[in-house]
Amino acid sequence: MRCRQAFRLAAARQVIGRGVGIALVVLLAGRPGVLRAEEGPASPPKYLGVVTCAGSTCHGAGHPVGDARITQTEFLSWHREDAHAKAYRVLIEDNGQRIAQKLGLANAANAPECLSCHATFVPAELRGKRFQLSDGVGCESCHGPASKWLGQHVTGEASREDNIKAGMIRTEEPVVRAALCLACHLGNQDKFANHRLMGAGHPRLSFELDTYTLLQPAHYRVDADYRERKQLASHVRVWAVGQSAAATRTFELFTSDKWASKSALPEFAFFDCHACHHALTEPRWAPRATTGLPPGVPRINDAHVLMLLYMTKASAPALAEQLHKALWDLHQASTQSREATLTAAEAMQGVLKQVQDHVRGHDFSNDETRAILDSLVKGGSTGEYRDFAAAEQAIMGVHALVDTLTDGKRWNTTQGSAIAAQIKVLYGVLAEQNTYQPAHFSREMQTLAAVLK
Amino acid sequence: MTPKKSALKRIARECGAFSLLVLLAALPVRADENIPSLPVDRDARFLGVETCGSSLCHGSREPWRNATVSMKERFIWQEHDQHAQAFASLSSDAGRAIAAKLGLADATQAPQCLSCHSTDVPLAQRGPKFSLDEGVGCESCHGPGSQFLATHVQPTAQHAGNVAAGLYPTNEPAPRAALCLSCHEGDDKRQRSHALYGAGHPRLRFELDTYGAQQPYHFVADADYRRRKPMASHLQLWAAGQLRAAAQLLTHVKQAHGQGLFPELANYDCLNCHRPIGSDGEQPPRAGVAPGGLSLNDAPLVVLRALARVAAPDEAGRLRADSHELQGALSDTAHRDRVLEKLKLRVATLAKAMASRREQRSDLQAVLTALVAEARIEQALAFAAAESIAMSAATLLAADYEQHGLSAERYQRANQALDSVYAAVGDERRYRAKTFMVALNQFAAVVAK
Repeated sequence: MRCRQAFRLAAARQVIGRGVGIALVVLLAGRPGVLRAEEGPASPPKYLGVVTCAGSTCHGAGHPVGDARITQTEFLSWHREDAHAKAYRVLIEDNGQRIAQKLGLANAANAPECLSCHATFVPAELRGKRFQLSDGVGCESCHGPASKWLGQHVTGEASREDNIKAGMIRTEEPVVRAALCLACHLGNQDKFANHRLMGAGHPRLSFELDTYTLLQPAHYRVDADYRERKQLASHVRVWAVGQSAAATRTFELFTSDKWASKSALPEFAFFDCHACHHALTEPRWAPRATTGLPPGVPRINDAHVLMLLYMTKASAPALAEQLHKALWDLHQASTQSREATLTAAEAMQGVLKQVQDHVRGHDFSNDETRAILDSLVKGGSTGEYRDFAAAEQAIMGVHALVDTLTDGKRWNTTQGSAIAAQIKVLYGVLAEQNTYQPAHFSREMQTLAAVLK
Repeated sequence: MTPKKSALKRIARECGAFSLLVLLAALPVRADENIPSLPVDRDARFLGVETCGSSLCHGSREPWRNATVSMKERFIWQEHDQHAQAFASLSSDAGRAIAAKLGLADATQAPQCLSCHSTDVPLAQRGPKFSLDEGVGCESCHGPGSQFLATHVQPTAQHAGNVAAGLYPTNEPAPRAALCLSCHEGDDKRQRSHALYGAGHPRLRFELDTYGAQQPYHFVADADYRRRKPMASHLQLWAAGQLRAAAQLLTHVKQAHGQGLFPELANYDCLNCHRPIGSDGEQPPRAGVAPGGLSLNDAPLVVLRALARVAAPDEAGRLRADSHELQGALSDTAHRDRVLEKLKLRVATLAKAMASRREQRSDLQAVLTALVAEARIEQALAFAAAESIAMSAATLLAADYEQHGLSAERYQRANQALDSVYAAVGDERRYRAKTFMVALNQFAAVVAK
């Protein structure tokens, strides 16, 4: 499992292009965590800062501690390997400064629109004494403000459920995790990386919940003890919940008063980047069965919906038909008018709600996972992943599904290695977004289909 | 394909041979409303290339005794002029691929293709010898033969009489600009569209004087020619092309519905979007445009600002301010349309100033210098504007040499400098405004000395 994770990590990083250099091992010689809450029970919970969690006898150990249930090296893992730890720092480095300057900001590290995702950006009155914005996206960004549960958590008297009641976030639950990650990796009502930000040089956003969880990398060890305390979702479930949440969120933003453009030009961040960002000398349009769009039309980025389409084709065919129609209608409406597009987007939201109910209540069997995998691969073989974002989602999805089936021992070592090798080839096709060749990806998907047989 | 420098040099050389013969004629310049309707828009019979180009008339292998023209015009068109291949290109591999992507069974049957790739007039107007497959033939430009053939073949025929009968006045700058640009930039009836580009159609670009010479011309502007027809100067032709392109752009931006959520993208700078992700540092947004925003391809307006500096100095600053305002107004339709109207008036004012202007010997150099000055003012010169400036500089430089404004030695050095200017716009994927400006400044230094 660890080995496969390491491979998936390396392979996924190839496509994400975010290989994280190992930083110097800097041990913050923090004191053992603060044991008492900083305020009374009625006041809102406070954020106590990374240093509070990272005591060397708590989550800041230098190496795994004897017979502890967890490694206790979580801080180190975050600090050394996790890009979240550098989220604040990148704001003041060259690239961050360049972007800020183009946006007309004096300093990105003071700008709420940057800090909202590059730090645990909470109101000053909710920051504990040892809290620092410069910690970047730290422990409490994801696990929740610690003041209400830190005491009981440290003494070990409280159960997981007690901690959650006190405000700790149930990050192992895919629905919760998806909402948490997507708040920044896609956006929400308060923050959204729009095309203005992209135009200033901010990297393109791309997210797949299962892959990125591994990519982070996870700072926990899934063992018997972990399983006893927490419900571990399968890769396929994490993937499906993530796709459903991302698609749902996309259209919430698309139809929102705040983020949808009201000017004569649409918000470009909702469109497939590479539909426009390709060389003039390389016209790359070809028909796509799910859009019906003519050449020369920027396409709405439908990567997450495509994933759900292939998922429902194998697990809920009636829903797949509705989704197909909603997708077709949306693309067609985008060539008519803003009003028509909004109406189509609202219809899409209705179908996505049903997909969400289906996914959340569903237990994906191995046979079903296999059928979804085949469906996803077939989409690739028929050239549906012409858009880079869709191809990227497809390979990450394929990988999550293959991992699920490997866990389920659905193939022998020889076949498993062949599949892994071909997945690596597919990641390779996506290594450079600006030179992506859809036909190449399609060919390699056909090879994968053969290997999977 | 940008006209090759070598081709321009050749043009300049050939023009040089006639330089003594060229007069800076004060040509009566027509105002826009006086431009005759375009040949293909007329309700008259078209007789076909065979009618004009028979071996007894304009398809003669041997020059005629006492003839005022060479009489081999048909062969020059047939053998050297791309217009003769316009129809055939529809069934080339590229033509078929484009048609397939547009969902057209056959480009040679599709009005949207034929409107510019042939003399596409209604069936009832086609004479017995007329054939669509002649492409853009004689009558596409000169007018339907039925209107003027009878007058034209009379030994006593005069140019003015032919024009009165229906011959299109291709020798006059504004009518010629309206004619060529109707396809090469688009007009109300033949609009360029991003859908066409998306299907693989080459990007449209045009400079009237350069492309006229490249066609190549099937006439010789000798003494006899000039006795019969007023001859437009290079500056007049160049200006007429830019004025028409600007007017067309300003109209099209307002009229085109675009594609649903998007405006008609064919009017925007291609490289706004068509560049690699992560290359944002290489080409910053234009003045008034937010990061990640779109800017209009306003190349003719940038170039006209240079003309205004010379022909209507009071207008230059206003034209510049308004064209910058336009870039910032694109996301607000009402504001945009107000600026478009202002700019239309400015362009019309400039056209009038140009029409009433008696060309000075120093004009060409003054416009060349002004072009560079306007390019410098742009915060980040767009690719299409840079390309337009390069073509303008080449054509005006050649004209200046031809009209003896420039010594042969300086002309040669300026031409060398122009090579670098052209190289900077040779490949849009490698275009950088900074590199272009370095080359343009070097060119300016040679011209100014």
